[in-house]
Amino acid sequence: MSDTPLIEVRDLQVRRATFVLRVPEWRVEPGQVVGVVGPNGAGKTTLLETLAGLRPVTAGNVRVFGRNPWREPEAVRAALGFMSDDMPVFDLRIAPLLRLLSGYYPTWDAALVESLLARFRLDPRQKAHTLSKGQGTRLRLVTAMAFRPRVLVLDEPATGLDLAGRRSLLESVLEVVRDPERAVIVSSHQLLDVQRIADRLLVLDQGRVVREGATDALVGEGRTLEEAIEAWGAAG
Amino acid sequence: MSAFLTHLWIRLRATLGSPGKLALMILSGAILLGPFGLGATSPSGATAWRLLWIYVWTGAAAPLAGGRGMSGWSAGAWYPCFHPALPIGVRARALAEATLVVLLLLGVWPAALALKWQLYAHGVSPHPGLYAPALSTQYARQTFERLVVVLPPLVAWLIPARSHDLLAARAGVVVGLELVAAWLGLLATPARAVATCALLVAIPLALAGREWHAPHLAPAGSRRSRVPARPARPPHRQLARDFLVRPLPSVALLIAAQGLVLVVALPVWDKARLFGGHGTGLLHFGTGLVVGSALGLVAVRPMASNQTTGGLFGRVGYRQGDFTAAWSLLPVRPQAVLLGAYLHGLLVSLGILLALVGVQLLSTFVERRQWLLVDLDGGPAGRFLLPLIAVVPCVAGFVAASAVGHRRKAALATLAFLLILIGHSATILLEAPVLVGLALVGGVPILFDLRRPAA
Repeated sequence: MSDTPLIEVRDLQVRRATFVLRVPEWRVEPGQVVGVVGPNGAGKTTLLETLAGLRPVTAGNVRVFGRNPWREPEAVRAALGFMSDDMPVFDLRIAPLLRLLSGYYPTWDAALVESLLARFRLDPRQKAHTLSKGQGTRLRLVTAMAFRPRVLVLDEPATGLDLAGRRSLLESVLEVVRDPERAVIVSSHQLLDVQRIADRLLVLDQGRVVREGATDALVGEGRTLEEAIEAWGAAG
Repeated sequence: MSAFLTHLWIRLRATLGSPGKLALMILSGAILLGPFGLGATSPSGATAWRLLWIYVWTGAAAPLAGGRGMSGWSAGAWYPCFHPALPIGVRARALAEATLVVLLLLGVWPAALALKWQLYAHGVSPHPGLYAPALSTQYARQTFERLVVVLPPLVAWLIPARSHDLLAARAGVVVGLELVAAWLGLLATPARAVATCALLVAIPLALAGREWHAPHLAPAGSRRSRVPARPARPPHRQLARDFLVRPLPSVALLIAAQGLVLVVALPVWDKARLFGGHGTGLLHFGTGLVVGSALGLVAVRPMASNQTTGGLFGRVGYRQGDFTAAWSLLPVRPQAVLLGAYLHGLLVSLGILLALVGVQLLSTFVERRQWLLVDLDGGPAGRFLLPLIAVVPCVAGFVAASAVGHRRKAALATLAFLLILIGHSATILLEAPVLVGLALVGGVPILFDLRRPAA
């Protein structure tokens, strides 16, 4: 495992209207699965979008693979997969859509795409715009994972997913981190799932970091993550 | 009947209570009825152009009447309907909303008449012969005929369809039938026009809902096809390539359509002299359709994506800025996507303009065996065609603004585009500085979005 962090955040401030996200210090190392949890409006999406270079920082420093994601989006996104149930996809059928995307990633893995489509039960002939909410989420997961990114950022990946979909999602995440050079950051309200897969946690509330550290150490023996969050006063 | 009246009353109140939509409808209605307007009963080549305008206008007015503003262009089945589950039948609803449009047009009529008199009194008329019998009674008769002609395509637009493409095709067929009826003299008198248009209204009403039983083109099934990848290139090169290559199927389709128009129309015009020698009308109608399609299918759809205008017009399943947002996660700069959309609009609209010049040259060649850019009366057509180059940046501005979901800049580009077209075609000759000014207003503001704030 390399010691170089994949993501490094120092004294970050991101302002969005009257809301300000503040993260003093945070690192994501290779091989980690980091859960970002907190109530609605805590700043989870703001943080993840900042990592993907979709949002500029107001102050402080964010480095992904040692680069500024806002200034160097090409280099960062070539190795960072971002999935959000809110992000639009191209209005094509699934197969042409994936073919279109494949031309932008030298690391695109067609065999992986086939297996992900089978796992998430997507028909390549379906139009992206006629998919149900859950199917749309599955498609976004496929597009985020298809090029084997070094960092996979998942913002509410379980939205609209049924039980089988959530199981497929968890399996996929665990497969990603079997590679010790890669990492996953997942934000979700499915706290049981997060507790099951995340080895580290970042707990946010009203734009501030409430807790950060190893999941087991933070949650403690015999407690669920939900109970712990209630105890920290970050349940919303 | 009571459902019809209730819905008409509700929609009338809603439309009158929405100043923006009302103004849009009235302004465009004034064009429809006014001195630059449409006399669809005239068996001249101009009939084709006028019917084309009716097709476009009714396509815009129908969603306004249906309560969805200009945002009704949806891929959804119930495209024109606002609150599709209202307790009113599809046919009664369509008729009520079509009646609403006719009532509003009637409301416009006095203003259009006044404008017509004003322009006629000042001698500002592009076609003096057309407006010479500008007596109010005759104008009233013309207005009645025009309203009658507007009804069938309106109803065709207002009956829900499985997809927007089917809807547009259905309205296009109805307008095409009106064109044939005009050439056959079936719209020549008010009585004939009423009978013909009643029949044409009855066709979409009778067929309402039938298409739902037609087979879908994409059968569902469990058979899984492979998902081939393509060779990866440096992202900026791949982006440029996609901007160039992806619209090609639509472009090829349009070139084939234009070729078909020429193949069908020119011999008719040149030799057979069918339709009473109105082959020019056929040529112009076909060319107009192809140009309209080119604008709608290629120019405003960079990479053949509906996401540019889909989001802007509130199409179901789309949001503003979806086009650039869909690119936002790929390893390309957002500015490059915006610039690509702008260049796409620029190149395609320039291509359309050149195609128009080509058609004009060809038609002159067929007529006179000389390659000259002259109009049908022998006047210099270049004087009319070349200033239209001012619309090119407006189209580009619209496409780029649609791509990023900037409604105001898209509206500005559209306004500049319409001012150039209307001002120009009304031969209120626009001076070069005015044209340049409008082109700048339409094409430049969106370029400021190329700047990205520093992080």
